Amino acid sequence: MEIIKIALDALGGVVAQWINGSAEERAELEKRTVEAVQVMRGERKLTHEALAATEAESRRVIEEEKTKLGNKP
Amino acid sequence: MTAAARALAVATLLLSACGGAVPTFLRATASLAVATSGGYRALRAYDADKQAGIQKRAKAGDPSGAEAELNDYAPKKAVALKVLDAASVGAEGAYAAVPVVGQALDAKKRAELAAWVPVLVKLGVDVVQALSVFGIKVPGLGGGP
Repeated sequence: MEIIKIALDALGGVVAQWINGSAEERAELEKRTVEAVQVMRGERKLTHEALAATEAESRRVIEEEKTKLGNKP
Repeated sequence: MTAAARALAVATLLLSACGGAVPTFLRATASLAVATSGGYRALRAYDADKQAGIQKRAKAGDPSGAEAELNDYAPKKAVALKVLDAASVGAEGAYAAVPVVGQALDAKKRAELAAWVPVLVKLGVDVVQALSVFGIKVPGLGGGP
């Protein structure tokens, strides 16, 4: 009975490790995921700002050129 | 099912076979976050070229044509940006669902994580499709470098 109990405990440990991953693997993956999410947040902010700026500049240039053409005799 | 969707589904299955539920989930979340970051960068680069072309056209004496081009491009760009934002929100939501170390991974939590996987896959596929409108291939998804 004792051997069966030890075997079941060991099996339980293996199953728990399979589900959760080893502590080192889990820590490394958490670190990589946090970094990936942080980079993504930065890219999101940067992209919104950049795209708004380029569109505003294009519209400004278009208006300027339209005005120039309109002012030509 | 597109090639990108198949690739993601196969990758998810392979990952599932290689490790536990939490590591698999973390890998899937990190993959989506990395792909979304790549999508944002690619869209920025594309937009810079596109807007430069529009401005050049306006300065070359065709401001009306440039304006029409911009008005055609702007809504498509907005859609792509919205899809990328949805993917980034999804990746953040998925990360928030990861159980803290030591937290019991009961059947309910496992079901919650399992339910996230198809959501992550769909968001990745949406990003690929939204950017393919501009001929952009997302690195790591859909055959990008």
